[in-house]
Amino acid sequence: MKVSLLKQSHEDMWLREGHLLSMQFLQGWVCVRILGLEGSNVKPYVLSASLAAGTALAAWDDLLDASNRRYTEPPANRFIHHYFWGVNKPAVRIYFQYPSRQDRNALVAIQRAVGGDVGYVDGNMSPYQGPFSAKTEFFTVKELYTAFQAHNPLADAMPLVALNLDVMRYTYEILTDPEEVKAILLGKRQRRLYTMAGIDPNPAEVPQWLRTLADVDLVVGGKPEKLMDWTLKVMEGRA
Amino acid sequence: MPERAGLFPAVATVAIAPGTNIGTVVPANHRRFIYSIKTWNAFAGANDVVLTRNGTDVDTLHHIAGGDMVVMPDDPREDSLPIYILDAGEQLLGVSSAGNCFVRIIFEDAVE
Repeated sequence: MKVSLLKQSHEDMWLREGHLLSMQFLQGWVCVRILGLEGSNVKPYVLSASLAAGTALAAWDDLLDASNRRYTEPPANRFIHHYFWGVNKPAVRIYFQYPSRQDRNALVAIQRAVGGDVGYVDGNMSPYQGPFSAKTEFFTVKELYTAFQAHNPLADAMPLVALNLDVMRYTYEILTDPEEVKAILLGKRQRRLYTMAGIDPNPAEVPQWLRTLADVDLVVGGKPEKLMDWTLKVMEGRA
Repeated sequence: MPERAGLFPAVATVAIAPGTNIGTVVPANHRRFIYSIKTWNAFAGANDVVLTRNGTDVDTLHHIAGGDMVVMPDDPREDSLPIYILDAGEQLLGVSSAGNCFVRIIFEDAVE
């Protein structure tokens, strides 16, 4: 709590109608305009009723509802989800995979290990009642989702380890006009940039359904080009 | 300052020497901040409880008669200071002088 008072509220970071969002995938950038939004949440999501001393969950948790639907995956292509989360136990260490099975938040050359001192968010960093750490922010599209692990570093069993996911669901339109996309990527239009999942080892691959819609054919300088590949050149100053 | 969600209870029936551990061993890279202790003397007479942490005396709690209680602090607050602090690898041990004494502590383990 002491440190958290210095943080910006995550509620100031929700996008609004008309805002522009650029998502970096491994194959390139996808630019969208937010059309509408609706808030939701999952509170509490109980990761463990009792997390034994010095142990982690038996398996990565995809954050499922009673019918095994993933809370962090939009239920339809027409939605983008935007999340922040906090955890109720100050000392519990929450590790993160995004996409599922891809460890995130490593620091050195070796893979980040559950239970280690690297690459986690605990309840002191992102308290259950907020304000949430900026490290807990993620966007998801259909077919991309996250997984969580929890580790109890203490010598006593931790009862009721629970997450509070605060969610904003957006509808959007995909922008494919190259001049508009270039203006957005280069900051000539106010926009929000987000690297999908992270950089190590690389951003998430774009789902095929989204690539079909967003990766349109261009002709640049008389040569055929794909929009997403071209966006990488734009960001590298080569286009 | 205790974080309510991070508090743990530990209870023990402290006996005469060699005594009884109260709570677990403090995990590596952590310190244990004990914010509250309550005792109830189950022995029908005077009974002192000496608290130690790995051989070092921490406190002595006096009970004059059976049924006596020690409750510290008198008025626990959210911003109370801890009454005892243990370091990593240490464990609180209670040794009573005459007979059993019930002890309950409230603590938080933290990297501070």
